[in-house]
Order: sequence, then C-alpha cells, then structure tokens
Amino acid sequence: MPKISAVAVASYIFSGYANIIIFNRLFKVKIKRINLLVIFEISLLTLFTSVMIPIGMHGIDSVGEYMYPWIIMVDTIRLPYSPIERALFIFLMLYVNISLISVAVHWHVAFELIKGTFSEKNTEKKNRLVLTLFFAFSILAVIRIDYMHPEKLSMYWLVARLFFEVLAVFGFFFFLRRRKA
Amino acid sequence: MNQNVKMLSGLLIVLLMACFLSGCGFKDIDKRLFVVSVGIDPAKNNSKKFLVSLKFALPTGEKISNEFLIISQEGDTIAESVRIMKSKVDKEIDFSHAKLIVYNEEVMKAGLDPNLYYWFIRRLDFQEMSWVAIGKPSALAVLKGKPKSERLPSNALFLALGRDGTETAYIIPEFLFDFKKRFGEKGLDPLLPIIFAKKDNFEINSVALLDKNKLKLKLQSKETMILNLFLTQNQKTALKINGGEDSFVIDTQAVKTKYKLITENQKQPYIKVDLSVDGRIEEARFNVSNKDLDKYEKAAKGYVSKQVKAVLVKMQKENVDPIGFGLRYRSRHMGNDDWKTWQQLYPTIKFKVNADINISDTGLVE
Repeated sequence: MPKISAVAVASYIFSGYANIIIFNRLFKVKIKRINLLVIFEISLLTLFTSVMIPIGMHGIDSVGEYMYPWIIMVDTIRLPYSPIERALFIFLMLYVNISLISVAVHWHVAFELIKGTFSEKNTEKKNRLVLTLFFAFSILAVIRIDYMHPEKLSMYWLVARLFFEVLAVFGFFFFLRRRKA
Repeated sequence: MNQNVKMLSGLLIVLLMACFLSGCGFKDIDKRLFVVSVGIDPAKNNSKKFLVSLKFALPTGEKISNEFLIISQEGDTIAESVRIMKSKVDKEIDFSHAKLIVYNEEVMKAGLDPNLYYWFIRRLDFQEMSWVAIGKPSALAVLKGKPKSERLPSNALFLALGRDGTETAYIIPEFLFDFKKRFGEKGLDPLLPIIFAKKDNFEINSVALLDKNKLKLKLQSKETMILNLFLTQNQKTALKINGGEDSFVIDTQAVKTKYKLITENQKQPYIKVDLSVDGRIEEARFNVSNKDLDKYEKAAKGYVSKQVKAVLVKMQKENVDPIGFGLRYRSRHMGNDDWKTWQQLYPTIKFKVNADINISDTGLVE
C-alpha cells in the first residue's frame, strides 16, 4: 500500500481545478470543446515530461536520491551554442516566474474566499487588513522557514489538502442539489 | 491629502524599507579564483588517503592566456582538503566553472569511495554536466598538461570531451550525472574515458569499465571505438577491414546499432545485435573496383561482426555491462526477480551479431 503522503503529493498536480471556486464566475460563455482538448493535451505533455525526463536522466533506481529531481535534471542539459552553457539558469528564471504566478493566483483565490465570508458589506479597510495579514504571515514565515522543517510542513499541508478537497467537492455537490431542489 | 502626495509618500516608504535589506555576501569577480578542473590522486608518503588538486584559471593579458595555478592538498575526504586549500589561496575558490573531474586509476582499483563522486553531486556550485575521466600517469599530471593548441586553461580537454572541437569515435565522454546514475542503476555499469597526459598534448582513446564498485576492465582504442558505436548513434569513424594484404578501410557515413534480447522460450538465450553501416572505401591495400563492391561488403560483414562480438564477449567475461543490456532486460520483464534472473543469464548469454554493411562507392578513384 502506498503511503498517504505519497498519494497526497502525487494528487497535488491535479488540484489546480480547485481554483475554479473563484474563477468560475468569469466563464460567462461555454468553453469550446477544441480548447478543452488543447488544454488537456498540453497538461498531459507537461505531466509526461516532468515524470519521465528526470527518471531518464538520473536512472530508475537512483532518481529518488535527489531532493529536487526536476531542477537537477535541468542542470544536466548542456547548451553548447547558447550564450549560457548551463540551461539551469534559464530554467530557474522560468521556474521562479511560474512560482510567482502560482502564488499570485492562490493569494487571489484565498483573498476572494475570505472576502466572501464577510457578513456585511466589504469595505476597503477590511480588504487591506486581510492583505496586511497575508504579507505579515509570509514575511514571518520566510524569516523562520529554515527552522520550521518546510518539507515536513508542506507534507502535512498536502495531506490536509487532499482530504479537504474531497470534502469540498462533495460538499459543493450537495449544496448545488439543495439549491436546485 | 491629494493623490500626488499620497503616491510620493508611498514611494518614500518603499525606499526607506530598502535600507533594511541586507547584502548576500557577494564577492566580486576580481576576488574569486575559478577552478577549471579537479584531480584526485592517492596520497603519497602521507597518512591521509587522497591528494586533491585544484587547477585555477588565471586571468592574463592577450599573449598567453592558458596560464594556471595548481594547488594540492592531502586529506581523507575532498571536503577536508578543499577547506585546507582555502587557506592556501588569496581569493574565494569558485567551483562554478569546474568542468572536469579527473581520478587516478589507483583510487578505482581498491573500490571507488562513493564520496569521491557524491561530494560533487551534493555541492550546489558544481555543474552536473562536468566530465569525469581517469588521468594517466596521474590526475595531477593531466591537470598540469598544457597543450600547445590551448587558448584557455583546460579548454583543450573540454573541447575534446564535449565534441565541440574534435569529433571522434575513440573518445567516450562521460558526464558526472551519468556516472552517478550508472552506479545506482541495476543493469547499466559505469565507464570512464582515460586521458593520457603527454608532454605537449594528451591522448583520449581508451575507456575503463567499472562494475558497481571498482575498475574491472580497460579497453584498447579499437575496442573503445566499437563500444562507442553502441553508446552514440551515427558515429563518423573508419572501420579497418581484414588485417593483411587484402585490408581496406571504410569511412562510415552512418552507423546504426540495434539490439534485441531473445530470452523467452529459448534453450540458448541470445542477444541479437544488428549493425548497419553506410560508407565508402577510403583506403585499400589493393586495386578496388566498383564492380566488386558486393565482395567487399561481404568481407566487411564477416570481419566487423567478429570484432563487435569479440568486444561484447570481453565485457561479458568481466561481467560488466556499460551498454545496458541488463536495463533493457529489466524494462521488458515485470516481476520481482527479473534482476536476479538477468544476473544468472548474462554470463552465459550468447551474442549473435549481424553487421549490415553498405558501401556506396570506392571514392573518386577505383
């Protein structure tokens, strides 16, 4: 039997759909089937490359030894004719950008969800307060991150996320049925 | 407060906050010494285990630019030696340009200490794609080499190993990440090119084969070339056919090597190797004619098959597998004991080599 942490980590890559909680209100028209197909194929390709390429570069038996297989994998790529020989630096910049986009999206979703919990009318002051809390928490976390065992912390978070997502999907399913009935 | 004042005060706050930023201990380029290659020898007349040498590139004027400095230090581990070496130089040692790691053969003979390659993997500043090699007569001698054609320190070796300069089937370059992978991978064994340091140049035309622990076999240059036909597709090389008066040389334009493990329902399991070579005759000890190409092809076919088979059997006898037959077997067989079965199978498996040689013409003369 696989460990629950392994399942949680593996399922995380599919959990981008959760953001649709907020973004669904922006889909005014129905998405064309061809677009869905394109997205599906791109995702499949990304998934395939991010699993298979590190295994190919580092071996089936020893790829597990690396902490960050994907980043180390990029360091194995040599670009002899480009201005920078190590592909790592180009990739790291992309990687940082992707992480920042992800942070922005998640902050937005979290912010909107918190805004939704206000019983009264949203005021500018309240919004700013929430954002200040976000900032303060992140800055404090960054200062102390090395001593908080980030890999352990993120594992707990990933496991919690897995259960919460299942709960949320079923929950919203029932809410929707009750509203219709 | 009007809008402008508000914006300006915001800007001021941001600028003031910048005062709290700390630097990251960055050292300028003129306060760094760049390591270009690392050598590891056994220590002599010393209680320590290894002699670690670093070759630094020294920036110089235009006239001669491959000036360097070598610092060596004995130590039981690389980390220990490097730390002591820091007290022997005036500037920060920077490993980000170290692209060659040379081992002495003696280090391999008793069994290679895994820390001798894990240290490079574990460090952030080392490139995963630096090359590894065996240096003869010693690693230090390879570092000291100063080929006449070299413009930058160690660059001659980088060009040769990286196939940016010379391109030959006799050099089998090995990257650090691949070297480490081969130690962990069941069914794929590590190999290292051997660099012979000469007075004014160097020679890389043989390869050392290791099992998971130590050096097992060294191939001759011709055997190295044949092994490379399996490791790199489409090698451009020359195949000499026959030894005596009827010998001729084929300049290969395209070489394709395929192999298939035929192990199921067989009394005698075998590996079927298919070699296809396209080329033209480059040199011959006799008068060749375009009419007799079939005859030459046939002669070449038998000769090449025999030679390839000899190399494969030689590696099989030492029970090393740099081509990865074992890995291929494991990829085609499910089950918990596939690796065990292969280990029993490999020493007795037969090779059936079929070389398919197409000679397009005899060149511009008959």
